Amino acid sequence: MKKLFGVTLGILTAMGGFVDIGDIVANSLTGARFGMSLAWAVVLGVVGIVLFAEMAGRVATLSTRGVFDLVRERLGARVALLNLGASFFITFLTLIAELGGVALALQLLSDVNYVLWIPLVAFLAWLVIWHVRFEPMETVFGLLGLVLLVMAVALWKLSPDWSGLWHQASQPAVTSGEGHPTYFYYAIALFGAAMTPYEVFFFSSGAVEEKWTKSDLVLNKANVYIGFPLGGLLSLMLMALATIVLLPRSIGVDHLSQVALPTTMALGKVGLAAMIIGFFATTFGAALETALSCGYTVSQYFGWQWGKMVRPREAARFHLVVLCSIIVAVLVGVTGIDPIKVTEYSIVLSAAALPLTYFPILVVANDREYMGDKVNGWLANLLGSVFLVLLVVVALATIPLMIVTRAGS
Amino acid sequence: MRRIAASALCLLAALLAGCVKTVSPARTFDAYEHKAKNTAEAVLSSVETARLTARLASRGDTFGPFTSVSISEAEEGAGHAQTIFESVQPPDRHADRLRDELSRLCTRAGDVLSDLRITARRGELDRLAERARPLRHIARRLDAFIREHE
Repeated sequence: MKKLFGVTLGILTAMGGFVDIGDIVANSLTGARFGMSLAWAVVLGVVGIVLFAEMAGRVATLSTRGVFDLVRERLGARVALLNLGASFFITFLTLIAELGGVALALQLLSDVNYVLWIPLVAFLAWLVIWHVRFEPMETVFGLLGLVLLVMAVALWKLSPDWSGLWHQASQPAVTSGEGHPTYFYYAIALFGAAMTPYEVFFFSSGAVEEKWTKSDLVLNKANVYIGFPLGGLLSLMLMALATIVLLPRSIGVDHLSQVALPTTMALGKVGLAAMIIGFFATTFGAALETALSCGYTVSQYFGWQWGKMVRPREAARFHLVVLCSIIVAVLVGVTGIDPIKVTEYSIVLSAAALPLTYFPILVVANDREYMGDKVNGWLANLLGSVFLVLLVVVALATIPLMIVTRAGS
Repeated sequence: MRRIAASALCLLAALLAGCVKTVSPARTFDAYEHKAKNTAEAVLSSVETARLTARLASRGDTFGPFTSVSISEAEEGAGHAQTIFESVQPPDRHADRLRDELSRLCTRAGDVLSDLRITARRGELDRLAERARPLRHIARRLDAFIREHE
């Protein structure tokens, strides 16, 4: 049973990475606009994150150091500071969006304006970070997010034209009325969402928090190979449901409530309740991940003591960064800024910062001084190099596409 | 280091400039027609969302708060799209006619959506499908408008 629960770090990380508020809306939105023709971007993202998260987990386990610590060592203090600025900004934007996302889920249950929920949600997030140990935290929210698997039942009940969906996914084409720049903008958004840097910061720091040793490398693989593909599968289900129900009705997705409609159509109140619980669990889990990642990145860069496992008095600066990030996120959130728009921008911007995060991981994963005989094999290096080239292309294309398409509009 | 920081700031400024969605003017009929088509698509999306929500609510498949939120968001979405479109100056008389046609459709949609929102907030969920019936015709008209101006 302990081994079974051992994969919850990967599940929680993947839930946050693949089905946070931005992904929930982005996957549904792309399904409603492009059908399944962008499924390849999710699949590509899953392969990329599996590859690099496995490396990051292995590096963190063997070196007992967080990814950002190694980023600074390999890139030098100056370039790493730029990377810190970009990564922290993106993670912080995501934190704002996630707090808003949890509030939006509560609004669907209560009809009370989401802005009023934000301070309460933030307090709850801080309370969990402060009081709950790492393992129960990841187990509860990782497993609760699995409620979203109700979408599989909804898909089956809607009895779609499976061959049509497969055809759209396997022979992607730009939908009529949509331009190529917009198509590729959303492809980058989905790819960036799958490979968002805070996932590896959180996952590798979690491995250090849980004090993984060389014998836990199997657990690392299980987490990565089960958690992330599961997150990707949920993303594809969101896309498929939108393709089946929303696309034929010309419904474009701008709100969380629209994402729940296909499952509600198939399963009624039970489906709706499961979707809202799933939205709450995954966005709350992502809020915890991003708040902690804010603390992890800053503390690891400056070489401070960090971690939930360390007594707060000994890691005071880490906890201060987490607390201040949450407070400032609340202040921004209560201005009424649209959490969905914030996260859409954050996932696209994260695509621009990807090479700086993943390059040092690939380098250290080949360093025998840290890794001993557990350095990358030829296949991991080949795939890692191909992905790095792809990440550079994506990073260069992101901002021009964002400007040309006016953020996909 | 300063150069890197300056480049990052320039990039951020360019990004913000690109992302801010201002209402750009329409100098030609074609540009205005394109904006009209986009507005009709946004309103159609809101109308269809409300229709689906109303149908599910009348079947007893949704909760009251969810229904109320979903329909309110649809109403806001349609209203927002209409306001933005109406703030654009029509370039000629031909565009005036287009503006009148679409505005009438949007206003009718807005009226029905308001009515649905009020009904949903009163908890009369079983009456929503009946109240949403006029939206079917409006959706058809919007769809025809979109096809005509593609």
